[in-house]
Amino acid sequence: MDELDLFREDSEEQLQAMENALVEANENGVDEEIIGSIFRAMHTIKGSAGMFGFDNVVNFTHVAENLMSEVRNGKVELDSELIELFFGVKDHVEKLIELETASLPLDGEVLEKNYDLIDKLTKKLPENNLLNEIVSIEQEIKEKNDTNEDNTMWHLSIRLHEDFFESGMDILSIFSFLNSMGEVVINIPILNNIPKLEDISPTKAYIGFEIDFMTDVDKDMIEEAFEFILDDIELKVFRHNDEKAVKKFLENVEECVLKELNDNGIFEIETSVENKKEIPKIEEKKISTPSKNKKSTKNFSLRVESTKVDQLMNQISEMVIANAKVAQMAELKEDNELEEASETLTHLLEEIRNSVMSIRMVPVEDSFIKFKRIVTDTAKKLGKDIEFIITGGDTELDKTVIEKINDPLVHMLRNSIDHGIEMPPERIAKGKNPKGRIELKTYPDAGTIVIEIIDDGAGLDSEKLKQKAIDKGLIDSNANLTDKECFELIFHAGFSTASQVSDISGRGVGMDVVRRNIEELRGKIEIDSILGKGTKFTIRLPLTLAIIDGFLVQVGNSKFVIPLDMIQECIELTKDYKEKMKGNNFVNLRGEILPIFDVRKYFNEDKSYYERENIVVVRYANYYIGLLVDELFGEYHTVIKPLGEVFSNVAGISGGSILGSGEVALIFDIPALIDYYIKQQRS
Amino acid sequence: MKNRDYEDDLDLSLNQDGEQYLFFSCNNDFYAIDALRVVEIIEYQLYTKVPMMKRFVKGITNVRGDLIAVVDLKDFFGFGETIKDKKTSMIILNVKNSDNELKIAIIIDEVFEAKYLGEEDIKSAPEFGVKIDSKFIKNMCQYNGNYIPILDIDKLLNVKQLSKIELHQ
Repeated sequence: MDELDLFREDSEEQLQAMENALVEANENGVDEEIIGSIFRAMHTIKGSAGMFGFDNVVNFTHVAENLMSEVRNGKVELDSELIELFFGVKDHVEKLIELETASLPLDGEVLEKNYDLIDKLTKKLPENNLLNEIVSIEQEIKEKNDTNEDNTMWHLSIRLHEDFFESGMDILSIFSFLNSMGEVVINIPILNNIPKLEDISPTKAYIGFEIDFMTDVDKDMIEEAFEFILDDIELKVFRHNDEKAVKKFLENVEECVLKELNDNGIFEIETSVENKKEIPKIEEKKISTPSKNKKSTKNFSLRVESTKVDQLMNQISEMVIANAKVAQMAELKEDNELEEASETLTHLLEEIRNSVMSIRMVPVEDSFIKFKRIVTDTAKKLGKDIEFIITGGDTELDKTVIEKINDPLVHMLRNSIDHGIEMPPERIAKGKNPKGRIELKTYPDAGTIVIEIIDDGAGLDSEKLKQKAIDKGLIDSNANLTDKECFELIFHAGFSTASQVSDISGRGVGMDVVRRNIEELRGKIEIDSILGKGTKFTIRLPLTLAIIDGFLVQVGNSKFVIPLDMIQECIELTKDYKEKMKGNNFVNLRGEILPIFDVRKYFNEDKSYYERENIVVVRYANYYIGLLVDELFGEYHTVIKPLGEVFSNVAGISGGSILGSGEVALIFDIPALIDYYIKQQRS
Repeated sequence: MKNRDYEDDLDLSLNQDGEQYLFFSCNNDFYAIDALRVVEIIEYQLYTKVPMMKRFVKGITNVRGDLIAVVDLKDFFGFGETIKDKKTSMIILNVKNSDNELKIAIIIDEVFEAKYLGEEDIKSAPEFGVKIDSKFIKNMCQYNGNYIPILDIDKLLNVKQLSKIELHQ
């Protein structure tokens, strides 16, 4: 990744954070954190744009940053007007960055916007800005001086006696005690008394410490800290601003210690001790030490290329395989210790693998929150009033899946606003709340993530859809379609229900593209709609593209992995069941008919070597099906590897997984398998 | 094939004319293939069966974390399945497929050597008379006094053909 890409990505992230903050401010009111993130966004972008010499960005963000800094100081209120203005700022900065990174000049419209925004921002600044600044600096200085009245810088000189260790005390615990009554600003260990290696006695202490200690307690209290070891150390305690004591100390101290002190800037040796110089130095130290009670920055993230995570995953898989070989050897040689060690390693590897897997998972909220603005903007443009609700934002999904589902969702939301929700008068006439409602709901369900877009708009008119499809020659005029099949028509390429193409929906990206995108992610989309009441789009996505929580089973000679979350239960296919089947391919499971899929037959496997046959009951959407297998091995986390193009036509297999022994297990694609099964039954 | 590692045969290639070929046997017949297409040669190892595939597409195997399709060459030529012994090997080949390349392993009886052949050693394939289908033969060459086929890897391992599904009953 080159620098410019990094800058682009970083700015994007900053602007996104800013937008999220603005949305948040609109909803729940303003707080410090929100102001902070807006300020930070402007500040960071200004800084990094400066490095690239993007003057337009720098100049603009500078104005915005100034205003935000006033907001932060409480001089300007972040009201709804200002929030609106900052939405504009965000968009404008985005545009500026786009132009600058492409080395394009600001053209008429953007330039106009630039001046307009700068003008508006400047007007928001308090008039006597400069004066305020001076006042605030003065205030700050005063505050600092105030705090200094209590705190005094002390100097502690400590030399441990050779027999110090016999006291049984730990000098470090004394230091931490010092920290509890003040702050150890500088602590220099004095090592010059340490003899040559051959002369060192491990029972003797040779070191000393020179400490700058800032505290509000008095000398007695400090000395008290050393109460128990006073006999075992040389201790000198004096104030930094006590010239006499400092002079005396400096005269008596060893040459090398003096140098050490000088290097660390504890005392200004040449100029001796001057109070004036001491004070700013103390301040500096104080600022540079982060105070503990301050809220730490919320979250920080690393930007890592996803291929690196994949690589890590591969390497771990390799290690698992290598370790399995070690375990095998240990068993063969009956080496218990080795076996145990390998077991520990197995455990650790499992943990590492889980951690790496979790790297890819992020809550959907981060990227869904920006839909709020899209909905508000679109609704405003169309003169509609819409309440937009996001539920289940903490559901985690693979980052790449989230990225790829983004565009289809935007498109669908726009569709819902444009075609779904009616205009307010129409809604009132229908006896609905004039304010439309769109819900974006995310939740995990049976090994998949479900995203629903529910609106309470006009609903889909199946007759109208059908007529349109007939007009367009997509279906036969006497085709007999269920409502659901009619709804599916909107996924046909070249099918658009809006009679007029607006700039909101219908930009050439139809629902067919939406469906294709979702299917590329191994997902599915369904529509439910009631005319006049509303529409619900249900998108089902796999949790992740690369990793699967599976259940390992054996059929004939081969091992297979079934996605764990789709499994409802495992039952034994007892003789009793078999007799009752009477050649049918279903069993009676607690009063329900469960169709059975014979994996061995499907995969042309050898006959079973096992006495016990098992049925794994799986569910996908509303289908239940029993897979007939031989042996059950249990849970298994694994990486999905594509089988490659040679096997692209095989139905019911989503990929392969490398087992600990190095052999490959095939992973069932349950939805495809169910589809295949249903088709087979029909034909 | 610019990215291949030539280090091993750098010296040789400076002094030699022509192309390098890998010689191996399958069903007691000798064959040659373009050595630059060979990724590596490994010992025969177990593979996992994949359903619905043609008889000679045996399944999939794990080569250091990569899943690679396995084709039994003897079975492909219609001489039945390779009988495994100590010398049975897998040659992993780079195969061109429309716009990309992928790796496919072929099971063969024994690998002999890699050797340079000059233009004079190579003859075009006869229309008929060789026991394997002539469309898989690129050229013929002399090896140990006999003419043997140089196989056309891309025709032999045509992904479109290999990936066709065959429903077993």
